[in-house]
Amino acid sequence: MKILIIEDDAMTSDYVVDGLKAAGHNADTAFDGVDGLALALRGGHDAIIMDRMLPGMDGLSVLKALRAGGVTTPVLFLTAIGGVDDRVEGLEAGADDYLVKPFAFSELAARLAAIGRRPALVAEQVKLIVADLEMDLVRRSVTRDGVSIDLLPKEFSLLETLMRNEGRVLSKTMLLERVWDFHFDPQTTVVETHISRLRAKIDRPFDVQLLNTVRNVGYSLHAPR
Amino acid sequence: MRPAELIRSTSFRLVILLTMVFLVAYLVAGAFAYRVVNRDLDERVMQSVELTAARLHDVYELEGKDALIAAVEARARSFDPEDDFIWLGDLSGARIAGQQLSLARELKTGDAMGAAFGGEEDDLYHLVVREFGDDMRLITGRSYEETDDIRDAVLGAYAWATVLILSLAIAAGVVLARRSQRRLAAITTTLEAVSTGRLSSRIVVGASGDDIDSMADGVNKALVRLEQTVETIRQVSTDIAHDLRTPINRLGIILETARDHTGDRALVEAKLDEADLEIRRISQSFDALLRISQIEAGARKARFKSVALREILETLHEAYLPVAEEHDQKLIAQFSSDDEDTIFGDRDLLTQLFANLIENALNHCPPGSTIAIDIAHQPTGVIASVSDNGPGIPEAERGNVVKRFYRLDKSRTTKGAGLGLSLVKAIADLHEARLTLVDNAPGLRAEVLFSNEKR
Repeated sequence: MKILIIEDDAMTSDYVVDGLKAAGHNADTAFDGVDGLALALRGGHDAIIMDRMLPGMDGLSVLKALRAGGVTTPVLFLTAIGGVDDRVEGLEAGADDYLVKPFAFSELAARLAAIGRRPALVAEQVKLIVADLEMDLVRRSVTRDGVSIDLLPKEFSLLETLMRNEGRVLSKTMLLERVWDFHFDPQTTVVETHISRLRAKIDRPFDVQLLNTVRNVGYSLHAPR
Repeated sequence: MRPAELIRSTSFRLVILLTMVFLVAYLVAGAFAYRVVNRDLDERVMQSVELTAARLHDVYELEGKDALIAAVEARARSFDPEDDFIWLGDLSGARIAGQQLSLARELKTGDAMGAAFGGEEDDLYHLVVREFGDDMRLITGRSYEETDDIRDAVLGAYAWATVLILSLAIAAGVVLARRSQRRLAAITTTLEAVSTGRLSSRIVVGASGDDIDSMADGVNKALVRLEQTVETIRQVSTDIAHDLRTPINRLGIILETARDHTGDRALVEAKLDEADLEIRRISQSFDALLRISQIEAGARKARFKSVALREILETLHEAYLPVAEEHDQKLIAQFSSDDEDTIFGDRDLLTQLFANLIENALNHCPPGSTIAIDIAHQPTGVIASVSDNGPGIPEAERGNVVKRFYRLDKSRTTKGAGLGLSLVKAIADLHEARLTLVDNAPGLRAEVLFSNEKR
């Protein structure tokens, strides 16, 4: 992917660029809002990572200008502005995701992967398939290798989220946001216990493991590689 | 009150403006009335002269020349020569009766100055000249002096009335300005006190309920808010200074230890992991603090919507059920039928409020405990509560646990920064809900009452 980074803090910018290059992506950088806007308008990026507090023109204005100019490139805000209303404000302005500093690169990478290649809305999918695991979205049933699996409603939506993002790593925070609509950091192992229960149902009775833990990052569902 | 202050005072300016408007109207009406009265007075002068001439004509017609002469003489005697005159003579200008009159031949009916015929030199007279029979001429005249006097009197009275009105208005203006100035000065003094840092100063509001009182009331409300906000900011900075310094200090120690043992790769790696964890903890505390202060500042109220309390609690019950089972605890939800339980609030924050209460119970109760979530309806409102049969909180500590960074566990071995209940309290306050911690005998029961009038 070709990613544009608009960030005035050189250390953060270098850290993100190095990480992205190591992961095989290309990166353009801009250090203020005006340059960032000019680069973004030129197009050709798969995603934009942008700070909110930028010299020249703030991130929110850059985003609004982009969207007004018809640029639909996915935008991820990477910012120290993490107040209660700021996330909502950023998303309402047209951002695709919002990550508050300090952040772990793995979390950024996971979120970037999720917004960067978000498939265009295809006709309503009725069936999700990962290896021999099948989910029927209409009948709300799950089978693996032909064996029917009973899931609780939240387990079902957790599995659905993982299946829709097959092969991608989803962090705990992402799962909390997408499955439970929780926007805070729980002090207990909510995600871990749900994952372990889901794993007990979809993986343990079978030989091949599909639901993988990516250490210090999150979880990923995919066929063995 | 100095004159400059007086002129700047709004009530004084208002009184003066109103007086000016009134005076203009008064003067326009006065000028109009003056003209009407003036014309009327002039007409009376003319009419009285005409009348005298007509009466004498009648006397001549009915009673003859001698009677006329007698009548003219009688009138001449009774007239004050300065005001009225009467002259009867022949066509050549020789006097037959009445007063002395010079240049009688040249006089015509109309207005003439006294100088022209020997009357008061500076006065204007109205003259009527009439021929009687074939050989007589009657000249009667009347000075306008009297009407001028009346006119002057009227004008004088008018001028005095104007002066009186102006001075009354200025006096009223001064009194009103003084009165409002005193009240405004009290407000200014209070605001000056606030701007020099005495944020608790308040304006004394009178009982009259007029505009100044309601303004004072508004200013007081704003001051209460300002004081709260400043207090919150002060509190947060103190909290940051006191309670974030400790973990930052710990971080420094960790890094120093790592630097002192650069040869020991395993130890350095362990220390780096430790440092990472510490940074994460600091960042979490920082976020929580900011969140609390923003919520306390009322940041989110604009986004309030109707939310179903029961739905929030059901989602949380479902989310935390496996966690409780992992801890060997029971998490039960008790909801009465389908009663109305919507409240006006912020779904995300309310979710966090109850999540914190549930997590507190999960983290502080030993295995085997039961934690119950329920909604109870009361005449006053809806109570959502999280109760457990764990160790509970001693009564004396219940007020303290909502304070920032306050932890029952003084050794600080359990996780968390001691901000969970402060956040719960802040969110409850934002929703104007009442958080109470009661003894569950045994255990703790945290109740959040959303009163009916706030829903």
